[in-house]
Amino acid sequence: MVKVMIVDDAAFMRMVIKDILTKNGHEVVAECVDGLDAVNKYPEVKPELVFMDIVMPNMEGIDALKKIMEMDPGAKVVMCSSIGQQSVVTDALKTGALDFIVKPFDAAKVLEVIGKVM
Amino acid sequence: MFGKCEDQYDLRVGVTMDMSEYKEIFKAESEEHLQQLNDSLLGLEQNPNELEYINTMFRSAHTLKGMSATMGFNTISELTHEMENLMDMVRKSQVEVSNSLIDILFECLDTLEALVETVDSEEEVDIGHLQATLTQAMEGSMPVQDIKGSVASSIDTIENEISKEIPEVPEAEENESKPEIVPVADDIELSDNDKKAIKEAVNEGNRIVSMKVILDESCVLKSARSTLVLINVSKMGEIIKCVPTEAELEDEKFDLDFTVIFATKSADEDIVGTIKKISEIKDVIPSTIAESDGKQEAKKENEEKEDSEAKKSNSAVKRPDAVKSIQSVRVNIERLDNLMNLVGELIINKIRLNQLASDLNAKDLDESLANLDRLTNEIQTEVMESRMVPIDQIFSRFPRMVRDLAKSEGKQINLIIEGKEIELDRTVLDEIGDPLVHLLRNAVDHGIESEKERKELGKPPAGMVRLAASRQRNSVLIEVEDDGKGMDPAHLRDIAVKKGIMTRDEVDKLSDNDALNLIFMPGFSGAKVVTDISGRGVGMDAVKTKIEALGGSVKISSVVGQGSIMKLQLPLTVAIIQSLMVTVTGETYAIPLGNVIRDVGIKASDIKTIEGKEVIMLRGEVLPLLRLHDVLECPTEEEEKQNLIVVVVEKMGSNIGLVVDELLGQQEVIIKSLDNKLLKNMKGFAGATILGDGSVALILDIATLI
Repeated sequence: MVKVMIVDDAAFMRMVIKDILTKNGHEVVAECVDGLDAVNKYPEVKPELVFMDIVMPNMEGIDALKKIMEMDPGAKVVMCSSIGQQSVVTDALKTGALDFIVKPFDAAKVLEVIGKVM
Repeated sequence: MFGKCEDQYDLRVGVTMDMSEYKEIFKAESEEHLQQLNDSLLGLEQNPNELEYINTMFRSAHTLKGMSATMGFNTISELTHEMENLMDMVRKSQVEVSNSLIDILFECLDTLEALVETVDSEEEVDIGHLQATLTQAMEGSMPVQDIKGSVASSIDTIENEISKEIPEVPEAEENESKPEIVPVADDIELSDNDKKAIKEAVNEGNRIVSMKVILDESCVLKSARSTLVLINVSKMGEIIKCVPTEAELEDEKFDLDFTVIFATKSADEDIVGTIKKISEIKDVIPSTIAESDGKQEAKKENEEKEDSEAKKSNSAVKRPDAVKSIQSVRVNIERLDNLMNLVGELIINKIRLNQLASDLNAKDLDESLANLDRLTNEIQTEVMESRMVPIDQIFSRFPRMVRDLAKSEGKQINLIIEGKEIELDRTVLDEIGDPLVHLLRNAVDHGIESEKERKELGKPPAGMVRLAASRQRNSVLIEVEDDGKGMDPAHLRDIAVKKGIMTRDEVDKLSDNDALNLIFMPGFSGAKVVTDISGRGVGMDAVKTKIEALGGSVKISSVVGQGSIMKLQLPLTVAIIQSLMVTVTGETYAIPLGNVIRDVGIKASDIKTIEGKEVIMLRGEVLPLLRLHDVLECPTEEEEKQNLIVVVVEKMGSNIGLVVDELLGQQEVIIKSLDNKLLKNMKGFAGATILGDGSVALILDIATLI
């Protein structure tokens, strides 16, 4: 079981990811509505894995990733991107994100990524 | 880490996940984003350079794209993808914010709204022309060299384009590396610098290996995937060369495979293992270019593993127990209705208990009953609060509506919205949408003068329409105000006569204020020309009926040449109303207090008859009288009393006196709807309520009763 923090401004996406995770034995320890929320909650929640959306209000995923990596260089972050975001994802990987999934993703993809990075 | 069998099972459970259960939240959230898009677009229309609007629109379109793709609603994701591209170009100043761009975007929003609305049905909405327009908008105002990347009109076409492009660049490389057994070093040209680097690396005890990495066909972001491979490889050694180059990889100028040559101390199996651990990697083919002098086993990886293991257990120990996050829950309105009903029952039973206790004179019960009182009151308040939603939920759609109206009328209008945070019961909110639409349409259509007229009158060219909500003690006041031409009582009198609603004599007797109320009469329409905007559907009488049915009231004031104000007084909730309790032939009835003007005692001898109808002179005005027992068809055998009690109620702007037997006083009653088949179509009753003694009282609906 992996303790996961989900960061996405869309409640719908959080719900979909959360269901995938919890139905497959993982635990969602926090849901964040934007990058700022994620940066604030990360030290408090200390998740084992973060699913991070990229385009969000207040603080974008890439900036939140940078802040989290500063706080905890061992942080495990997987980016949730959409088609057409190659360059941001590439930047995120260079910053320290471990992997990425591309919307639309299915449960198998999410679980595969968890299996690979944990 | 994953166990084997369970995971496969789990995967399957996950894959067959039923997306339909997310439809509701998808729709709800999409609507929020559409609203945000609408708001921002309106803002953008006013301030074409405001970056925040552009960014917000970009984000919302992007989020919608991701959500709809996840649901498999491809038309929505295609359209939002286009919009996102367009907004991105606007953001980068490649496309200018023009009026036509705003119009196109509004059209997109309307289409999206329709698409979201119809996700349940199989209905196909054709977005072809819209895509073409969007593409045109993107092409039209951008430098030629930029077109290629952004024209792609859908996810499909993007992928097509990429695959079309591919053969051009890496073809040569593909042929070169085809015979895989042959050492890569022979195929890939190494520059002098490369060779120098290899030599140095070997001297430092490294082996030089070449890894051909083949990605899965399903891999979507290939460039990002290759970056991930390079990042992982660089953790095991130093990259000397990439084919294609790193820059080409980042630009996605490759098919499915690429080769990386690097210096390392790790063994092939470890390297291949690490790369294969990355997702979407189909295969890794290693070959050795040069061996190192000495062989050093790198245990680094193992150490790292232990390290991270230790970290993991550490963080598990330190984890705080409680994760603080307040989250809201979406609750079906039916549930809240049920809850409200149950609270109603609870209160009725409490009142009954109170009565029993006082009958029994059981002092011991008093204290716990007082507690019960407090608790039920609190529950009632909580449930009522939970049904409250900000009025913004309906206000938010008006800026767009007013904009469109103003545009089609060729008028300039500033819409001022105040108090959108005020909360109202969900049921009330659902009901006032149409009346408000009507009032706003009237304000724009009939109230505000044309720009030319306004200039001649010395008014600012842009008309003002104000929509304001404010919380009164036990109600909410909504005002719709305009600074237009106002309503002329004399003109309204003329119309009433012309339309045969009243005679000339009747209208002449009306005060100016009463004349304004003529617009609430059925069949009255103040418009000289019925336009397609205000002329459709409901009239002001329907507005008034609706608001009054909710237990509210509509008041109007207007000054010729300066404008009009409509004031809607609305109850906070419709589930509980203040009523005047009366009895007629032994039965108790509730009259909603909103309808009641006053109660008076009269003498039977004062009743006069005009045209066979009973009236009484009250404060210098003629008040028609109705005997409630006649209206309710409850024959009374009692003798005519000398002193009669009259409840004066208001209906359609005129007063009527209801003769009742007895006044019981004012009371909060909980409305139970009469959804029984037998009673449903009965006119004159708004519902029923249960009294403290368990008996049922009907609630009179004045509008339909008389």
